[in-house]
Amino acid sequence: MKNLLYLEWRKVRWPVLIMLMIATAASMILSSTIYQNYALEYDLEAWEVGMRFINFIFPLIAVLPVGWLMYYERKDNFLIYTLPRVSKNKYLLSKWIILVGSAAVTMFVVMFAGVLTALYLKPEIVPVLTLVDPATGELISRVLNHHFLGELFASHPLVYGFLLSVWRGFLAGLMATMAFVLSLYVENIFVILTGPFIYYILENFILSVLHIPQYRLATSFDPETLDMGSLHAFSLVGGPLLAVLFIMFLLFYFKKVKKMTVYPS
Amino acid sequence: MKVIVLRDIQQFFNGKVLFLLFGCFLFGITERQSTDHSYEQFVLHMVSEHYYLTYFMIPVFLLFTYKSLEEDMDYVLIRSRFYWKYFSAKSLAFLLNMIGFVCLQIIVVMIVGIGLRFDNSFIVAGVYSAFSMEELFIQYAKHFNSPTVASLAASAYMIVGLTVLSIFFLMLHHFWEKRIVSILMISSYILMTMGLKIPSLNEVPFLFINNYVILHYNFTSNGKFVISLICMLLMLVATGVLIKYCWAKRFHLNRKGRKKGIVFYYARFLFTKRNVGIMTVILLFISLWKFMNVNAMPAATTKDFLLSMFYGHGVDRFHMLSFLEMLILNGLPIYLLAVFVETINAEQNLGLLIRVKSKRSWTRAILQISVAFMAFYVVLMVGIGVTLCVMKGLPLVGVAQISMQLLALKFLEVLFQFLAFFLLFLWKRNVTMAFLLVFGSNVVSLLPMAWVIYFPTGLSSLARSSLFVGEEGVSFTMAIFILSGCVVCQWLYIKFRGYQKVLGG
Repeated sequence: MKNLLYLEWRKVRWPVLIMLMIATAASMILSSTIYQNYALEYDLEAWEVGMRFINFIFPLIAVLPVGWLMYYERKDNFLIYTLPRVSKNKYLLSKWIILVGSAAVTMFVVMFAGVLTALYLKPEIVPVLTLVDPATGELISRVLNHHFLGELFASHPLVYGFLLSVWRGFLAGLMATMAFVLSLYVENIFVILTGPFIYYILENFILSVLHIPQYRLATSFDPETLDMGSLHAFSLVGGPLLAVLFIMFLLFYFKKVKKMTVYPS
Repeated sequence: MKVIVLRDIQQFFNGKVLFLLFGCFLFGITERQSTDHSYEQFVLHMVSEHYYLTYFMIPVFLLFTYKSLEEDMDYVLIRSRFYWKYFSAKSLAFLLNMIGFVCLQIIVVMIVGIGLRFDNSFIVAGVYSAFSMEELFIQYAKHFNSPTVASLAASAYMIVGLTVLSIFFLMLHHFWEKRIVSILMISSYILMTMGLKIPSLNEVPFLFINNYVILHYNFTSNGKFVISLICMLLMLVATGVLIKYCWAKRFHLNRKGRKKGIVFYYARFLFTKRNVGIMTVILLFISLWKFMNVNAMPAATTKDFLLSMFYGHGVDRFHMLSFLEMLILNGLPIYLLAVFVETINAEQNLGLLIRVKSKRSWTRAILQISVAFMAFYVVLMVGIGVTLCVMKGLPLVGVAQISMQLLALKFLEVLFQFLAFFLLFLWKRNVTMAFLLVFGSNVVSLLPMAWVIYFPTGLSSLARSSLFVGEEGVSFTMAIFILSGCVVCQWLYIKFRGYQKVLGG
């Protein structure tokens, strides 16, 4: 198993490392520039406003460097040569672990680099309070009152950033899984690489139109896109759950309805 | 012969009739709760209830008829001495079936109505006005003495109409395969619902099956009843003649007309059921959403709907939902075309490679079929919206001009994006990269510069048009000019240089 994992890692390492470097650089630059146009209260908010663009394309960051892994091995029938040497499930499992692991670690590093930049590298911001307390008429903190996990965000920004980065890494792994499932059956690399992104856009749009934006994957990825009012405990897991259901539907559709096989038959 | 009739009746009245009875029962109960009618009036009301008949009974009838169409069994055919005898036995079975079909519903209605007071006159004791007559009853009162007679006449007419229709469908099924009959059934139903919304259209004879089933639709103008009867008679006569004299012929839809060549070869990749289905579902979803928004406005028109459908995304401020909507509406055909290009790129069909004369004609074929696909998409987009509006009865003032303009604008923009995609594809031969770059070019409209309002990607958004923004916006002529200029440049490049690199060059 160890050798298998190492083998798979050697296949994807350059694309993953290149994507890691580009995206980390982008995240650090965005975290340390975009915030200048905003009136903010805490340093970590610079990370938040800087990441919006990356949030929009996160399935691409997760999928593009690794999604092709299975496609070419199915296309040129390389898979047949693995059959005498290793069991099907073991081979696919090691592939999946590498795929999900690299996507998750990439996303975590990209996000956490942004957190560190916003907290320690860029010059400290001058806090601007904008919210007025209707009862007393004094300026109060917007973050403490309306932010997702406002207390933690204000007092332990590093912990908040770390936790959210880990969660985002998990979601990136989910998107990579979707691409992996597609690559098990679809014979069109374009669909494999862009499928999760298209799913993300369509799901975002449809759930917004249906007035349930709290269950979007985008909300789960960045809880700040919504007001505190419409968020609740289920919001964070709603989007991923829907994605898991969609992945299971894909598996069921290809396997049972279309009766396709992963290995050439 | 008797056996055929019995067998058909047995096949018709199986478990699925319960569904009909259940629907009828539910509908009757709901109607009964809010009724001021007497017993006889209630029955008449139910047998001529517009919504029940058009949205429940007729679909159920079509479904049942479709189910009872089956391939003729050889040994039955051999034992019947003439085909027309066999056919008339089937027709008789249909007549009996339809009598049962209508009578069952009337019995359910009569059971539901038990307990209402008896009053065999057309005068309704309303709550609001002491003695009022409903509009429908006024029409009936002109022709019949009492509600009972009217109910009998309406149900008899219904039985006759349904029988004629089912015999007609049976005849169609004899000459054509079941798939075509089902398409004809569905389209006749859609035509009927459209005819209900546009009364002037409904005057055209033959096309609208509701005239044959529902008696009071024939009251709208003098002589319409006679026309409907003549139509039904003509249908029967045509059926009889065809069955008697041409029963052995087969009217195959002409399949030899299927064209050959690369364009049509590729058309089968592009115009698949799946692609058309995806486009229809997404467009229908967005249209319905837009339509509900527009319909909530006072004095909404079809023009308003079209304007909101093509509103897109402006340049000055970012709005997530409209941005996503623009991405989806403009990106959908490009995405499907990109899947198509990737398919033919990965396939590298050797037979095709040998038969194609030159790369130029190959490129031309790809571009031709893609342009046709995009034109289809744009027409579908406007078509679905206008159909929705027409069905809901929104006024159609000034739609022709604005829809032409919007069609042209949207088509040019989609074409521009596709050609940009195609050029990028020719450059690096990587579909994913080309698509993502074109898709990403939508982001340009969010940049804070002033000139981005003239950037061709997203130029078909009305949010940028001078129609909405005023002086600062882009006028229609200007937008057309920019887009067509870009398209011509791209096309010229592909024509003289780019084609050399198409597909494995």
